[in-house]
Amino acid sequence: MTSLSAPRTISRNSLAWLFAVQVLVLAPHFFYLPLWLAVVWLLVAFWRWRIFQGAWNYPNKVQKSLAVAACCVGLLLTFGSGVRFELLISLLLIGFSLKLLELKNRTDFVLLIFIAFFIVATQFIEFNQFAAAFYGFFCVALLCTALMQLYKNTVSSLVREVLPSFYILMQAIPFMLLLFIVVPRLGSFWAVPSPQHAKTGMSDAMAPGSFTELMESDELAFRVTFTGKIPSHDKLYWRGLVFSFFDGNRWTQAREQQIENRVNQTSKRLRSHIDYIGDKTEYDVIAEPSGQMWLYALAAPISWSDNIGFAGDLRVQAFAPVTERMSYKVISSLNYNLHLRSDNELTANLQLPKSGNLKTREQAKQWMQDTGTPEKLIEKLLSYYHQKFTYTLNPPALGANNVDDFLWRTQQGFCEHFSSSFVFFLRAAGVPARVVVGYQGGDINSIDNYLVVHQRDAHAWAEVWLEGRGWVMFDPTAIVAPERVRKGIAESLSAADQKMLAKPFGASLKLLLLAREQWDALNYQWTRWVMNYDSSLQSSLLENIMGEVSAARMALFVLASGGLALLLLLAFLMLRTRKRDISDAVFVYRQLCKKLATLGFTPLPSETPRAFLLRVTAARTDLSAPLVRFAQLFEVMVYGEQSHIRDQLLKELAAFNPRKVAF
Amino acid sequence: MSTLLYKFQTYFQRWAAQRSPRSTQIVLRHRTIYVFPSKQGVALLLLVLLIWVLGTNYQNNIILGLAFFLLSLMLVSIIHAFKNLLGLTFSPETIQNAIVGEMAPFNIRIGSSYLTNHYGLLLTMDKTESVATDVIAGHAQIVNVGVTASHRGWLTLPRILLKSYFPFGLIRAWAYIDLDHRVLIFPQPIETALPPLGIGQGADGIYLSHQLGDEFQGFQTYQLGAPLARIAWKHYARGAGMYLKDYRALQSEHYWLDWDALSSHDIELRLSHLSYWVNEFSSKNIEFGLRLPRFTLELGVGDSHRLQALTALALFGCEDKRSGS
Repeated sequence: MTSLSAPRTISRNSLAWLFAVQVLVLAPHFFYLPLWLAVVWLLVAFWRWRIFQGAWNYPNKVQKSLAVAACCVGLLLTFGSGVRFELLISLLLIGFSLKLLELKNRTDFVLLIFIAFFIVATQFIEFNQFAAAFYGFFCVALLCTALMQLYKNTVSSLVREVLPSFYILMQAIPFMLLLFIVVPRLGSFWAVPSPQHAKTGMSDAMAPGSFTELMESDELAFRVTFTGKIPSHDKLYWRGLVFSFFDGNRWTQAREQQIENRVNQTSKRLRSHIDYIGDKTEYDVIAEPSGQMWLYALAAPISWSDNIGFAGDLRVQAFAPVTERMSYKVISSLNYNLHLRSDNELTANLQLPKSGNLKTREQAKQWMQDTGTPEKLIEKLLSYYHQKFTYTLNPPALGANNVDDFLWRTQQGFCEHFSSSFVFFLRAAGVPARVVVGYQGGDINSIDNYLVVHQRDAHAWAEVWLEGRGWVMFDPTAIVAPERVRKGIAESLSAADQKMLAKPFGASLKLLLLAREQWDALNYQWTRWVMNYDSSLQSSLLENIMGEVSAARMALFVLASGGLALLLLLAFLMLRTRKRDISDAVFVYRQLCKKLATLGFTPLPSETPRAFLLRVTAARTDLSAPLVRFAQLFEVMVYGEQSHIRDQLLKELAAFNPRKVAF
Repeated sequence: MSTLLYKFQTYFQRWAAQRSPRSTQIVLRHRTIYVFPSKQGVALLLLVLLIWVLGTNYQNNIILGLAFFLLSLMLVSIIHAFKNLLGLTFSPETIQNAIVGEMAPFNIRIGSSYLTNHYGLLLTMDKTESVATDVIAGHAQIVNVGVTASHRGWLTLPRILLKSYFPFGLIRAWAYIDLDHRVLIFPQPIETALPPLGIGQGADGIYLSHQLGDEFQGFQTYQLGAPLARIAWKHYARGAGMYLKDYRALQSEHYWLDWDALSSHDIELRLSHLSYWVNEFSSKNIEFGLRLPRFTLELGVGDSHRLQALTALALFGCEDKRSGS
């Protein structure tokens, strides 16, 4: 019993708990924020601890201003002046840390916990996998525990408070799910700064070596669920960008193509030059953030979801750089004819740098004369690849005339070399051709049967314009290393080369691989159903539940289910509380009788507790010691409910085990 | 606006008072428990809004999920805040008398109809002072609520505001406890140089006190229930019948405290002076009597005599119907 006149000060227990939870809340942010922020927190926490010990004082105004100024200078030096996502989060964290120095009473404590809730929310911007969500909600639960102990007068230790608080938090989950399902999803209110940091992914140019980094990366590019059967591995050419311009070193988009990037054209005009043949393939893609606009689809897309657009060259792209994981749906026809959209498309795809690679230019003209038609030329060129070339991720270095060097000297390389030399050769021979980059293949997750495409699946191939057939796809890499497209990159490499390839940890262990697949499947479903639960998914789900969706029905549904859940919860809680219809003493006596009943002793209606216990003792002398104690305590208890007697009695009851004593 | 709020508050208080009438045993039921978001609850709602905006702007479902979770927490808190007060029982405990100007220490027994825990109970009468306690596993607690005794006579326990912010401080659950509990407040003793003595003082000499003592005085006729030691067994043996030996204390002093002997016109001051001398005589074990207008307390000593005198002084002039009880 305490008297409460002023707001209570912070106990040692709560302070230690607060520090621990702060560490947990702040930790994820230090993965992408400068580490000196952690040092700031450490210093501040140390100061606060010294204040608690009575050694140091709360900072005065000058000290506070100095601390704030020092942090601002630090931020300015780290981030410069622009308003960036990292800067905003850093400011928040500094405020959160420095507030510790003003932590004097309960109100400050609650404020700190509320800020911590917000910081947990910001951590989800950066990390939104299943594990991150789990971790975040664990932090929230610990924060709630800290909050709850403020409103109890008897606090033993905070670790013991965890379970009661979790018990209440669990009850909030059904309501959260209900709200999550029914609360309408709105679009962004205003543009917000997004986290900017290096993300691996395909760049907007293909220079020698630019694919090496991708192939060494085990990062996820995107995941695909097919509505029907997954097409065979060699058909999975995920088209990303088409490069028509070559400067002798780098392949990039031609100027016309770049202009198209910015124009979201209506689908009708764009699709007039495409003939779709045969079956449709329908699939959902969840792309990881790449910081780029372009997305990946199988050629040729017939229709697509509203959140993406169709660009020239059979490509799909987002309306803004992809900074969050994003999902889209595409229906493609794997067989198609792609015709010319404009006349200058042919000339643009005959472009070559003014000089360099003279031998290739010469040979190309020569071969063209020998074969006569582009089809035959391609056949000859591909058989040349097949006979002379080897596929390796570790090719010898190339000189300034890189196509010459590759075609006629080293003859070792991987997709970027093959596609680049192939297109160069055809252009030199007067056949319009271009480079297509994207991903090829992917791993099928055996748990949930979806396709996982990693950065290491990055690939480059070629498209050639053939009179009467339109743009036709050729993959010279597939000629050299058929395994690459049939089974995936890991199968196509020699043992030495495989070391270069990014491989998941413990890939050689079957069990670990299975666990990894399971984990990825969990994350994928999480992304698919939770992270990507948007207004369209919402309306289809709600239509399934309620039939037609209207505001009135919705309100009725929410109120009815919410109210019902609240009532159920109340009923559940009331059923669990035992009514105190008997005194503690009688309760303990009844429990004891239950225990003795297992030995075959039941009290007669006329027997007093003492008489009954004496009867039992007479029959079972081995039990006499605890039972006599019991009888004494019980009588004391009946004539005055004293708490220590009651506790003692309960302890005796718990310890009393007739069977154990018997043997 | 504030007058409207004030009007509403007074209306609510009156309405709430009707629902929880004054009683000697109060059990909190659903009719008498009120719940409403606390200041922190309102702050949390703002925080939820902020997190919701953040989640919507970043189109991030986990952030939205967190906002919904905090909102759900508030909903569930309503039930737990309500249940935290449900079934609490309040009954008065014995109480010490107090004098004017002191704190009257009201003891209240707080128990539970259930074997559950009730946390963070705050009992308040005015806005400044509150008493906090927990009721664990339905085990009764006795709390002490101090009320400043501003006047003599019966002091009834004012209506107590019981509130709790358990579990997370988001919801304030409260109830009004109108416990039938009262204590007699004695006048404050004020010292005077001379006792206000009335006529009939036996300052010296032999005077027989009404109290029993060790000085043999004579015989009385037997009364049923008299102590065996006092029976005059010799007389009985002679066949003279049952007599009692009469022992009396020999009192050298006895005084009559008299209302009319006081010169002051202030009634309270007169009572204070009389109180002082009642205490004074009692502590020195001097026999005294008390004469008030329309009330006379015969000569006597001892604690119960003192209490009788002080009670008479405390209730002087009070039209309290229950004063005789």
